[in-house]
Amino acid sequence: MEDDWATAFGSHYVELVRACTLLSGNQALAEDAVVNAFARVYGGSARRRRALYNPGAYLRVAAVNETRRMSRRDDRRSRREARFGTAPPASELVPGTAVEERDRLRRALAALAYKQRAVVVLRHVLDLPEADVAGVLGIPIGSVKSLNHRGLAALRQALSPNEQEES
Amino acid sequence: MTGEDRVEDILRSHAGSIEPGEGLRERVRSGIAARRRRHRLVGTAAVVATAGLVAGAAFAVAPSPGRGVDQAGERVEMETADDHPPAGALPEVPPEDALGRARWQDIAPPPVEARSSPAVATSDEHLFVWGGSKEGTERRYADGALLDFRTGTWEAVEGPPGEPGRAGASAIWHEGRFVVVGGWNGRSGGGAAPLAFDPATGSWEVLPEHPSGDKTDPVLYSSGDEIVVAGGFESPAGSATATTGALDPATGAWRELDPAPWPLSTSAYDHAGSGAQPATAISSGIVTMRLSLAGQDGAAEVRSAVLAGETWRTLPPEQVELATDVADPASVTALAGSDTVLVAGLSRPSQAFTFTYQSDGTASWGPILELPLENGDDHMRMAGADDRWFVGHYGTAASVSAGEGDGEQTVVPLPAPQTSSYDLLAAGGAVLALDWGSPDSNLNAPPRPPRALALTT
Repeated sequence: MEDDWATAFGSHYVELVRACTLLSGNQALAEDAVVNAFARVYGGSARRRRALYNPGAYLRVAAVNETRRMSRRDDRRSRREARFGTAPPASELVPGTAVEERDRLRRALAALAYKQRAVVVLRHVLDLPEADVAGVLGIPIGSVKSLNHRGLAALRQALSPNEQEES
Repeated sequence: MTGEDRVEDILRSHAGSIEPGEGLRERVRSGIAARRRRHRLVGTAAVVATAGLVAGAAFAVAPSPGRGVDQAGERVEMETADDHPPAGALPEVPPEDALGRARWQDIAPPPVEARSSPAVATSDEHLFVWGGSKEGTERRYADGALLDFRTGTWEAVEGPPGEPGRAGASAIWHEGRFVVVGGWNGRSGGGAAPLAFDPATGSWEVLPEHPSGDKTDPVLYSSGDEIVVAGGFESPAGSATATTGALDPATGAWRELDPAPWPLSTSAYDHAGSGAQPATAISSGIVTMRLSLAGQDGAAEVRSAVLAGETWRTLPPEQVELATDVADPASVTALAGSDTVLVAGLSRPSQAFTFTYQSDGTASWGPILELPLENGDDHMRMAGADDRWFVGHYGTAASVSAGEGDGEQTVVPLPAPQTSSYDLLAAGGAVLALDWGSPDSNLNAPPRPPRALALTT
């Protein structure tokens, strides 16, 4: 019986992969996380599946959690690679191009604390209301507001050409 | 355009440029199918016979109001009532990164008298508890209860007519019924025939006795149409056995299988002090280990055997280096649906290691882990849920991750129910701590009623 997950897949997989890619900075990891999220939400008992009132919300929570879990593992691997000199070299991009701007965004996002990054991505990429962002991350709405404010400020600074040059 | 708008613009533009790779749908389909297969195995493999014999204090964690917990395991505080899980539903197992703020939440208490050694088993839908004894007396119970995971409510279960009650039985979910095997009914020479309880109808069927007599605390494993019954004690005061048989509950027929390479049972408590401890887990077969401790230098030899199909396969012995103050190993649990077993309760403070049985007949061993538990002994309780274990001992508890990919494992301290007389179970999507209480006849602890808690955040 495929319908229970296939409909949700059609509705949510693109946004989930995009959000998780921005969260992790790694699309392959993000896709793995989305696969795991669907498996977690739709791979349980029939009882659990029947209790899915809002599959999109459950999938978002599962995908965000999976991304965080897998990113931690990936971080450990990266540190080992760096220690043994096997990490890939940083790319050299032409300043001012869209590709370079996205690269800067990616690095700026990576520099944010995880919850700050998650708030910014959920709020501004998935367009979730603050209450839903709070629900996904299990934090108060007030924290969502402050994390969002600080996260956007950090991104703005990182993406501003003038401030980049000054720094 | 404000700075904020520009950032949002770049974010959206970047997100819009990300196109999911081909084949994702197929990967999702496979992932869901694999997990559903694994979930079915959980129902088959979840069997525990209890040995909660030692008194302890009451649970220290106060009841707390319910909170929405989503299907994916993370706390969700939704704004609309429609998004909450059904009232009474059990809290979902907390995700690893939320375990630091986990707590135990009361659920409805079991509607049974305080007792020791009831048989416990789970299906996808229910937790079944039956039998047991009244500590300090000769009384054995023939009643029990059924917890509905969907509603979080209990229903009392009366035993079959004429059943005198028994303690030390084992139970398993098999082909739509809970099957109780073995146990001590106070009559030497048997009479503790297997019983099958159908939760849909509330009816019992009495099945034929094992030809070589019923045992207490036998290890049960659901294998196709049959239930494999391995080991168990001849009587409460008797020796552990290695006999292995298979019962087909549909026909009542028994078959003898090759005996296990050493005596085994579900009760680590009763093997304590033997110096060569058998510890047994249910995975995709029966995995049993025998740890011979070589003095106080921390060296131990682990011999292991796996019931694969109908024959026992003994694996090459493994040397492990444990802490110097080594106690008898106490308890083993299996990661349901896989072949990885956590062995814990090896020393003071407690240590653990993992053992993974490969299909080619070899095994791999994980590193020695230090658990944040005061002791590792025969009162430890363990439960497997998804990719990690939960281990409890008196007032301490921990979660151990299974390790993935590169085999890394983590240990997370948990709050713990302050009692020793309890079972840990991973069932119904939750981690449950079940305290079977202490009767007023128990001279070692104040009376307390049975209680059930679920781990939540």
